[in-house]
Amino acid sequence: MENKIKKFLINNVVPIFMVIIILLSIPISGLSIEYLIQEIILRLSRNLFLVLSLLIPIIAGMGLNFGIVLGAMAGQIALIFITDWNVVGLQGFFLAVIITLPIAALMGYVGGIVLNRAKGREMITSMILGFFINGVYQLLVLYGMGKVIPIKNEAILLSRGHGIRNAIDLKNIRRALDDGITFNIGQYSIPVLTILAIVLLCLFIVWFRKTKLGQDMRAIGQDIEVSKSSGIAVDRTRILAIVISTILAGIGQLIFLQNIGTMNTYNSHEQIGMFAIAALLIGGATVSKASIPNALSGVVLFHTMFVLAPRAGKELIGSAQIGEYFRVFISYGIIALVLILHQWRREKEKEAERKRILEMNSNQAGGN
Amino acid sequence: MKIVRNWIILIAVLTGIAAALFISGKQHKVFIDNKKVGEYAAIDVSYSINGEKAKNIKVNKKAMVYVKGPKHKLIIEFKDDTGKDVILENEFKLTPTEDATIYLPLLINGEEDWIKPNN
Repeated sequence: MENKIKKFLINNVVPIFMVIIILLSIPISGLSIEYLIQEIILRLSRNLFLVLSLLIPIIAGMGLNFGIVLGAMAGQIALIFITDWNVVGLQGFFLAVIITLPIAALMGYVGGIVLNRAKGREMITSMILGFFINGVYQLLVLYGMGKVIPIKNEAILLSRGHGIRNAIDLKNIRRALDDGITFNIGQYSIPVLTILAIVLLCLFIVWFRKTKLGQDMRAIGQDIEVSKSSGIAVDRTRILAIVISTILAGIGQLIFLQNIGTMNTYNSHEQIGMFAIAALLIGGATVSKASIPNALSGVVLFHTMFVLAPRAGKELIGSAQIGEYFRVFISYGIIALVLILHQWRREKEKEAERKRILEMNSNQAGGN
Repeated sequence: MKIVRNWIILIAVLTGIAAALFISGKQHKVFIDNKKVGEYAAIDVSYSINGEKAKNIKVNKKAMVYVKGPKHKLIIEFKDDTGKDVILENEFKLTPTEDATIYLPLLINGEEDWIKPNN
């Protein structure tokens, strides 16, 4: 019994820690529960799709895909095009989704090939790959657009005639998906289309896990060598996992930005990977195991803290800035903590396995 | 062979959907010009496009509205020479890359070229 409680506490140390922080922050912040609920609904619809895009590479044993920033960049390129072409409303949003698909697929394919050459070090490789592709993206957007790629809309072009401005007003598609169909429950407004997109993605993930490809990914996630011996095309399957994740991240970024309503051309994608990963880990996921409930609870906990931290900081110290430091500190801290815990668990498991084999050997020796 | 065929079908379908979204979601600038054109004098007019709330436009003024998609309905209301209220309903189409100007004096006087593309 004691062991079970200990195991539960160790497995859920991060969500428990977060729940304690949130429960302490609520009374300090002075925010009403109604306000918090509306904020959580808003942030769930804004962020959950992005967080869910991380699940498939974890199934395939590739860890946390910091490379979702590649998908985010693909989404942003699509947004630049639809803003230039003046395609508005839901049509603009869905056109951006269609433009995102091939760009994100190509980026995912490149990412998958690179990660196949760095087996066992996928997380750091995907992070560095994100930085590298960010450079290519900046080159394309800052020098290519308006020069090589025709852009006619002067409102988004820099005054020199080429390159995209630092911030783009997405008024053409602002809240297009969120306000497409809304449903009111009491004082709370529910963005039906966005929630529907998230539910469809959850159903897709559940269905995907049961398919042949999904089972192959699970097998690869458990043991690459055994999967190879049993005839699974390991490299191809891993590339597909990254391609799917990158495409989903691209769509997730579109959902995120249509909700925000403005796009920071050169920075909007940069923090996406870290915040999405932090949210997933806060929900109790690990590097090797993550589920839809982890993503859901993680987004709720992480973003409740996002809302509470600045107000709690202001009430405690007189500066909302401290809340901002606090949440960035928490994001990086949680990722570091989970990576340490993952390594610690692996060491423990290895040690237990070693003990078990030694006991087996000594029993066999005693029997002889 | 089957895979290539499926990919071609998928690309064709997506391209078709993208084209439909582009045409139906494209935003156009429509100018409403209420200045004298040739022999036709301008009068105060109330206009409404695609069922939006009606707005008044005075003589010698020009207004601009944004419309989405290719097909639009314009309703104008004005008083004729006898002081009687007249309501005219007209439809107009825009190509995907087109912005246009509507010349109200021409429209009121039944001319056919009351809408002209800007580009």
